[in-house]
Amino acid sequence: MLKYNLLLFFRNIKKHKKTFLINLIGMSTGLACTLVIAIWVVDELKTDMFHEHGEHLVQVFQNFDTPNGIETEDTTQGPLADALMNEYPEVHMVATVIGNEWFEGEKFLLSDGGDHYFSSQIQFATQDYFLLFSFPLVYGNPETVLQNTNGVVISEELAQKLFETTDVVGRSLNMLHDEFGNAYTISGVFKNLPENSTEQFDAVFNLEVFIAENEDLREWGDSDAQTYAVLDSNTNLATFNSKIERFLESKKLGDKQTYFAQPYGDRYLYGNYINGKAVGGRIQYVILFSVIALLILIIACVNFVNMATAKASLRIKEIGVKKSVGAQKNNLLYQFTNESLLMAAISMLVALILVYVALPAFNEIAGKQLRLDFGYELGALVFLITLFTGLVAGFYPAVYLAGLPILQGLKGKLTKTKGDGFARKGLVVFQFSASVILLVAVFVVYKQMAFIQDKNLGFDREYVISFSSGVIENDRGIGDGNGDAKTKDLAIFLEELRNIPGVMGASNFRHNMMADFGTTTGMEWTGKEVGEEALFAQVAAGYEFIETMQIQIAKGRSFSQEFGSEDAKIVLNEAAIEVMGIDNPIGKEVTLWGEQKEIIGIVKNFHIDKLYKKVLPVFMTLSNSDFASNVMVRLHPRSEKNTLKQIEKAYHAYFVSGMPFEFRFLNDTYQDLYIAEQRVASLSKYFALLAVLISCLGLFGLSIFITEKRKKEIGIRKVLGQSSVQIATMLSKELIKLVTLSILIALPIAYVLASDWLSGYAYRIPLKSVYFLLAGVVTLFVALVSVGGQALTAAGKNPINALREE
Amino acid sequence: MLLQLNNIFKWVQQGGQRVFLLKDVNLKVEEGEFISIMGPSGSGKSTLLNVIGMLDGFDEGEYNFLDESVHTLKEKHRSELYKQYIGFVFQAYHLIDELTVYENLEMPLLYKKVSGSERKAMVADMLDRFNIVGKKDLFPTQLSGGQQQLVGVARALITKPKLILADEPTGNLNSQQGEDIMELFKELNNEGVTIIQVTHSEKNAGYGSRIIHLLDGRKIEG
Repeated sequence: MLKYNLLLFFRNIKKHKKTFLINLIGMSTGLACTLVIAIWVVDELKTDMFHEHGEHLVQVFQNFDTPNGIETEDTTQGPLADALMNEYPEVHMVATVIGNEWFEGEKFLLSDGGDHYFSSQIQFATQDYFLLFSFPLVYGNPETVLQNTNGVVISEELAQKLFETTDVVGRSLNMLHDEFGNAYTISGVFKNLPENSTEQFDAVFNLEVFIAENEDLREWGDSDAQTYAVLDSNTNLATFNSKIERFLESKKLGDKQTYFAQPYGDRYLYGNYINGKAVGGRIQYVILFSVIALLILIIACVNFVNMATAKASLRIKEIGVKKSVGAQKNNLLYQFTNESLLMAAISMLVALILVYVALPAFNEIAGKQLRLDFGYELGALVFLITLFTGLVAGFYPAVYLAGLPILQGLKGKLTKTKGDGFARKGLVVFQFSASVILLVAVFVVYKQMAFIQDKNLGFDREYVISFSSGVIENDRGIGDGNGDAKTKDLAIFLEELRNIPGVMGASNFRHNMMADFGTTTGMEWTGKEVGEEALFAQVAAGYEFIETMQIQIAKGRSFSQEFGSEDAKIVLNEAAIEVMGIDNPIGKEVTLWGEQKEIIGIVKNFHIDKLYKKVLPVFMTLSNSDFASNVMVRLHPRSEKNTLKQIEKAYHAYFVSGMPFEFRFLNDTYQDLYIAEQRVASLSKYFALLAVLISCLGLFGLSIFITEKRKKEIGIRKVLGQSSVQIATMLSKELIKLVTLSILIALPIAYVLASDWLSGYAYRIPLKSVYFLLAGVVTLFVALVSVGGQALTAAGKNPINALREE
Repeated sequence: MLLQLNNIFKWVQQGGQRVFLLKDVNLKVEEGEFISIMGPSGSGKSTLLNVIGMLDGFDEGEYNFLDESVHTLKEKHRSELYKQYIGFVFQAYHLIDELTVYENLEMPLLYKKVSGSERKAMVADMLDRFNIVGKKDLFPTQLSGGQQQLVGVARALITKPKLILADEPTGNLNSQQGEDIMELFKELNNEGVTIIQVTHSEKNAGYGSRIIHLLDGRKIEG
């Protein structure tokens, strides 16, 4: 039986090549989209999921009560890990970590003792780090690698770079740094971290090294360390969380903060915290794209369903004959399901080729390194998707075809039933509604992204670079490592930069103006009401910062060396003045952390946070810290390249030789803030386009059948003198009506979805009707072309042929 | 007795009125008969044949086939019944164009779940008997009308039915081909197969042992 079904399937393909091609193109593109998304989703779901302790490996988070609501931090107090270990028997192991994100992108310079340095990402961790996390060691014992303060565990890759071998335990490694610079002994080598680990670092040092320079970490008043724990396998996380929630309060160590633990593997997908709870994050994109994949797959299936049922008139004889020689309904159900499964399987083969070709481009956009690994995982995915598609696409046609009355089959006539036409119309409407919604979404996301691109942030982000300041020779850190003249040294370097012809301004700043800043409620002013609390963002930068960033001064002046010490001076933005409600603020005083500060200038508002948030009140003080700092330089647009070369030269001349000069354009950093949205925007563009195309392909197929069925009618009409255009219009009318209906259904849904998405941005585009109109017009146009073209061809044929055939 | 129809009525609603397709038809068929149904277009010949073949239902009356009362059977049992005992021959042959002669013959056996080796033997036997061994790998469209109908009859016979129902089996054939098919029917009838055919041709009706005349869905004597 199977053999016959296969034979019939292939011989039918041969006979109806056009139908087969339409089905194949539609289904394989649909499957390719779905497969790519499925591979991506699986990769997302697997991120950080490879640690052996699984959900028992948790990270402790801290919730702060602030005037703007509860804020969640992933950093906690240094002593917390040990305290948890002592206090709660269910805590099995703990580790305290200062991760590389603590250094805000600062790279550390490591060498094999010579003068050739490699910039590396490092972190500091306590002894059990490699027991908690499953980063396997190639050399060294996970229990002891971090026992010695002087020990360091490095990656295979770094070992290769430094020593050209990985068997390097016992060898010495130099770090060039003003705080941690020293010679260390390699105690272990770990395997290169898997791509689906969010932690990416080249070396792990003992936390004691960090603490030696940052004694605060031993205090309960400091929140800088990440705290990880492995809980016993029978621990209920909710119960554990209720125990640790008020830990600080119970120990009289603080009352504004509470704790909760989240499984380490959940952080990646559930990394948005609202009101102190994880409420999603990347998982929203995972869901979004899963829905898109499903929609596209269903759209592709709908084509198959519609073609199969429309084609019923061609197969009705076969069905009737088979039934008359004894085929049961089940036999036919089996046959038609086989056919759709086979169709899905063939399409999947084509889809696999498409995916293979398209994956590099997809990776580029999605920022991933996905591959087609032919293992059991991909196999299972391919199998399940094929099965799903075959069944979804095949179910209705199989039931429909197998249920056709036998006599109709033998007479070769298919009387139209109402339900049949309704189902087909409904499916077309579904297809096009989904396509239109996707199209509107793409327009809106694109417009919002363009808006973000063009948004005036209140400062000029073009032609500004930022880079970390280097280490100067007498501050190498190796040996006594005592060079406190950092600020002065930096001032000299900045002065050198300003003297380069193409440099329009240079300043130092701890952060980089891109949604990375500290906030405080420690601001007092006259007229502040009792109990009133306001959150202010801090910008602590050097001289000429305001000028370099081209922040507009509304009143007063900016910091300047001409005025002597500026320590007791402060500059505020308009939002801050508004919050404080001070009239004629210049010259008045506010109190910051208990110190009197004189307001010397007001700057216009600028966006220091992402555009999701309203402009924050900002205060600016002159940076007098010894912190390692970023250097921000504004370049003259026309001599950009040349200037960069000169800056690099100055950098190498001023700082320890061998330090690599790594800089970023501020605009690139800005783009990175919205990278997730950018990716969604460019990916959904392709998916929406494909959805529309697949839908139209189906429409095209349907119109072929409709014209085929009405061949005789067309002939008669022509003989009676109707023009081709009139006939084509008549033929297209029904399908175009359906498409119009779909657009009408889709637009309100799209409107609701779009405004919901936009409401996440404090600064957003207005929802213009033109986006909706455009989506509708585009869809209608493509539909008209695919239906109308076919109808015109049919109407243009010689009517005699059509009539003679009868 | 092979089958018996008692007071069969069949109608359709048209514009609020009942239009009768079959009106009080009574018929008794013994095994081994060769019956021809005649009558003008629209007299209900094909409808009656379809009712007998259980391809179509009826609205009133009783139908007994080999002691089974067809009118009380469920669709599934009915198809079991005709699958086992009835073979159909159609005016338009109704071979499946995408299958070869051999495959068309084998198909009914597949639905009867006959084993592979037995199928081979039965198909070979049939090809042999109808002298079409040389055509077994051809597709229906590569055959003449007469040859196609030959395959059609062979397909009806392959399941060894007690009854063959033929709806104008020679309608699409020229006179020579038609005669060949009628001779074949005669031969089969002599071997004991019951045959009921619908025909317009007096000459073809002459091959049978009994003629039933229909007019406006009613059986008329004479």
